Amino acid sequence: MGSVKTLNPNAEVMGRNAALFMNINAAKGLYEVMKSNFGPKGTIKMLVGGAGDIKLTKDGNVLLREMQIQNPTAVMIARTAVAQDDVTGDGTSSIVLLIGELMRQSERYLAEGSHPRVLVEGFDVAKKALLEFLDKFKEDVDTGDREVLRCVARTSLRTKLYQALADQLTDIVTDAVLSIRQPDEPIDLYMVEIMHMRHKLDQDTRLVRGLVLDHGARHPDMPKRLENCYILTANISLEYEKAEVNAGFFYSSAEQREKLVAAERAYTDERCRRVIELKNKGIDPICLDMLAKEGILGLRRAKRRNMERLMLACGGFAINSVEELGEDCLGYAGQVYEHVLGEEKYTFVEDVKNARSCTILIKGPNDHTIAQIKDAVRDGLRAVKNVIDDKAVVAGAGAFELAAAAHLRSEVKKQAAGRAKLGVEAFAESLLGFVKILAENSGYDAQEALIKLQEEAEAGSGAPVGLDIATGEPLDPQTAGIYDNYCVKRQIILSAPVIASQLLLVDEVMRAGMNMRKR
Amino acid sequence: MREIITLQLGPLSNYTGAHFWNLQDEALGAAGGERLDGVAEDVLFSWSEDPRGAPVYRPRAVVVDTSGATGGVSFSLDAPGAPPDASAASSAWGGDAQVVASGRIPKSAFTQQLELQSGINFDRESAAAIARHQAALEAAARQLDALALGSAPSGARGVGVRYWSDYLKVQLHPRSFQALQGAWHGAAGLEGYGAASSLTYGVRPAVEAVADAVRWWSEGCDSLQGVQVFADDLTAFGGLARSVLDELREELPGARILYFSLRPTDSGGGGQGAAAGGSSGSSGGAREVVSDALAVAELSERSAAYVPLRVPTDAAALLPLLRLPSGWRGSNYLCGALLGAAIDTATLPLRLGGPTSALEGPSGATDLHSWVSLLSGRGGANLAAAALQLPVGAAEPEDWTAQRASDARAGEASPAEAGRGEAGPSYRLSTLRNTVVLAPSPPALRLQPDSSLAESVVLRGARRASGLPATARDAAAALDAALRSEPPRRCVMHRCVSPAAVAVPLPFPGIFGPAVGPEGEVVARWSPAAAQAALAAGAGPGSAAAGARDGRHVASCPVLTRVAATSEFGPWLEERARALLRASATAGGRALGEGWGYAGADLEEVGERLRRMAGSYADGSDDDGLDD
Ligand SMILES: Nc1ncnc2c1ncn2[C@@H]1O[C@H](COP(=O)(O)OP(=O)(O)O)[C@@H](O)[C@H]1O
Ligand SMILES: [Mg+2]
Repeated sequence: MGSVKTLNPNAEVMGRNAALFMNINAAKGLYEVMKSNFGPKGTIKMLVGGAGDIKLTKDGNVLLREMQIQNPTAVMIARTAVAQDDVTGDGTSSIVLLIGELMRQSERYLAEGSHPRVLVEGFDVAKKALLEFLDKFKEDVDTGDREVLRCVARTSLRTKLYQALADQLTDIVTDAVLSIRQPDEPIDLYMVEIMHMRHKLDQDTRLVRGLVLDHGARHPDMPKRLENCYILTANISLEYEKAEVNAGFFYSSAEQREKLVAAERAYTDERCRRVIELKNKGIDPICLDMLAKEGILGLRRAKRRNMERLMLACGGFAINSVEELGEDCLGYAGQVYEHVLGEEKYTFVEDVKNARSCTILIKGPNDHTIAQIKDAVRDGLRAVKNVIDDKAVVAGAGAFELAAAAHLRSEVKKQAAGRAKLGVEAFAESLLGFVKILAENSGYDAQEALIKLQEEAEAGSGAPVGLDIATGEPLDPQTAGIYDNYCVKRQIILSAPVIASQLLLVDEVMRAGMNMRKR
Repeated sequence: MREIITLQLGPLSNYTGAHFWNLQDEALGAAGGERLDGVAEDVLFSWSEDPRGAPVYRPRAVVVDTSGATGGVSFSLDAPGAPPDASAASSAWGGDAQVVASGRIPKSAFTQQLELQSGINFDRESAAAIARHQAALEAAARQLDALALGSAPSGARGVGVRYWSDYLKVQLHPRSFQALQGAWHGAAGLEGYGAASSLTYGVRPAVEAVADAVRWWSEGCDSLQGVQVFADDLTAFGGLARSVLDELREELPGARILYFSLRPTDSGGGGQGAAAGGSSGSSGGAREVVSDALAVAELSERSAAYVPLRVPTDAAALLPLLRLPSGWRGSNYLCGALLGAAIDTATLPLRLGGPTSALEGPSGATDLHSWVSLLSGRGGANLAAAALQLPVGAAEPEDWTAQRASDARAGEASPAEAGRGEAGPSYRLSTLRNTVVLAPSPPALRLQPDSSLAESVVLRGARRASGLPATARDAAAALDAALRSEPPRRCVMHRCVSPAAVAVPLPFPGIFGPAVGPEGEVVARWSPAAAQAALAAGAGPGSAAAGARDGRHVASCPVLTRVAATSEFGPWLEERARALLRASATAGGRALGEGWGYAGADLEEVGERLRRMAGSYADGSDDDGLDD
């Protein structure tokens, strides 16, 4: 368990209360940091380093990465958020906020004399009930429905980018995932390359159905633009290499050396004569020259992953020796052209037949804007993939949290044994925290907005009720198209109470740490 | 052609790397346009043109350090301008923004001067103005030393080296610098080879970023010789290096790796610029032992040659003409200077091949592949050790017979005794006396000639006893004479002699003693006693001697290095295997290993590999058994 590892064996053993107090404070500290970024009306944080370098983010995960966290409790919470991001790609602010809320609520009960054990029991009851409730609350969807995918992508992107940009990226992200999707195969997001260009004026991010490589031809006479071309991916070195056996230090005579060199050169040239295009090994100048003379555009040292992408985009397969060369190993692209931007060269491979790999080309005026867009695009891609994997979505805008809290209070609390009810109540209150933060960040009175929503839900037909961030009034997330990922919510419910419980049962965790070491 | 990519991982590596690049840059500048020292400028540097057509060169380097390790210097293309303001924060977010600034870290006076002067067109300046600029730069460079050399009250603002970027005078490409996420400058937690496993974000993002940057540089290479790595492998950067090398094996199949493992002299840390904080008692011992064993076993396996380097604690005695200030052992700036100088000269043969003056060029050019094949020619073990002579003694080809007797004795004597030398003008060119073996102990590697299995000796810029420069032919003859006078080596030798001395960059620490002349010549009547006396006389700041010979008075200097594969690595490896065994028998050692992802059986395997490597050095063994 991560929690055990983070404990420093040399740490002084603190009194339980002191440790508990420290844990609550650490959780609250991170909560305060994260609170203002949450939701589409959150605040973006601009972090300026000691060298004046800038990092812009609204993303919980990125923010945590840029903060120097030393407090072991905070580190533990940060790790949970990292795990959340690894597993689902979203919900990192939410998980930190939920842990923070659970600790805040617990603090109240502890002050009134409750024992942490009791709260933890309640958390556990609530967690189990919520997982069941989520499965009922989620909406199953047809993953062939492009509109659903767009909704989820848009919801995610709008929490990271301004609306017009988010909306433009919504289609790009959705289409990118759809184009690499294969029936009955898991989606491999690595097949979507994310490439960026720094460009002061042109800031149009676009989807390239094909591949963009961050390098170009290394020979002035190579063609800058080709149409209807064959693509060869070759895993063969076209560099003149000293044959290993002969790579000794001293040649016995100059003549012998010449001979050897000539022989080796001839071997490389021979290989070159028979080979045509893109590759991940080197190509030396003499071979470049030969390729250029034949009107061939040769790219060397492509990224290994780009070789795979190229094959998926253009067809054909990579050859490992010249002997394999034949027509069937060749792929096809409608156009291949070079694009020069300042000192940087790019090669576009476009108009491919049935691209199973594509590129999202991000343009931005500076590194931090590019990084911000890149993070958002990654999140968007994950969101779309998650819908396809989950075959379900969850109504957003606080609708799930509102309904879940009501469910805990009306159903679950009744069943919970004795004082464990307190833990269930604390959990319900914590969930409502999300709705309040959403309202607060949008500039409304949190309590007032919450009451309006609760009244609407009680009076209504049972359809989910969320918060309209533009008005502070209730809204139907289904009609507004605000959907979150099922797996994100599920993962939050799974891990937040576990961490909160560990923080509450701090002395037991410490003992567990000791046991681990003796094993 | 024959390009080399440099990969630097960790603080000491970057302190060393900064000196290394300064030395390269200085050599470039010293050549003044037309370079005649035979160094091919495009081996280490990538050249391009700026929009105005002026040449731009950037190290083909990938540099990894903790976040914040570059202080106030940023290598990003977004030149940080006015303090950023929240409203203009982003063109990608419409809502509110909140600025969280950590406070600007001032750049060093030296970096500031460099930036200030980069805009000046020196062709249009008057001689007086140029002199003024030069004086300002020199004064700023002197401030770098202030703390290290103890001539300023510690804590004085703006003096001393706080970051390697304080004295790096080469501009890095924006692609070159990568911060290790979740690891912060000055914070604890990176001690030990496997420490990266506890980083919150793991090493995967860093490994991919580094591999991609190396791949990007390699794309610009016509004929890549290989990659030279400097890494702090007793820290988290060691484990990182392993993952990076694994990734490179996939991404750049066939690229040869020349690996320099850089070890701090003061492992206790706490020194200025030292790596993350001190160690906590006994776990420090086990940690170091396990780290050392893992680093040697795992990284030597992933490289073509593995060269562990560490300035020994008695270096000051072994290099009698230098004046190392008392706290040098804890200073990455000072240790890095010696390590950087050693690597610079040792690898010179890999950079030769450029134009030379009509008179006489350097001899002994080779390439990385041949060089490492020479050094790892025997068995399968590929360890090498290096020794440094700085400055080089007088090179007299004629009178070697006279020296033979005394040198023969010196060769057997301990290096410390040898350093004391004989009466008379005994600071002579020698590959054994007045040299320091830059290898981590225990046991101390002596690099005895008769244990050499293969050796590469490089001599640059030798001077005659008269103080005048020696021609390449004379220098070579003097080196041969010195070698003949020494106990014989029965091994393959590679010899490289360049008549051009090492140009000493301004930000190189002022460590030269008063017995060294401005061109690195050894003053005529040098004797150990005289050197001591001169040192004593010149030591106090403000004294007349200090003004003239303050340690920064040396503009160029002859340097000699030996790099040898030696059978002394046999016992050295055995010692590491034994120490690992001892450490892993303790609960603390086992827990440490497990925390890093090495179960007991894994550590046993590591020990086994070390023993097998050791065995390959044993006499009469021609089978290494190292094939995996
Ligand atoms: N248009 C919207 N109106 C109201 N709530 C929204 C809207 N879009 C997203 N949300 C809510 O914002 C939350 C996600 O905010 P975000 O800042 O991305 O945090 P996290 O890092 O936890 O994903 C979700 O609970 C989602 O339902
Ligand atoms: Mg989100």
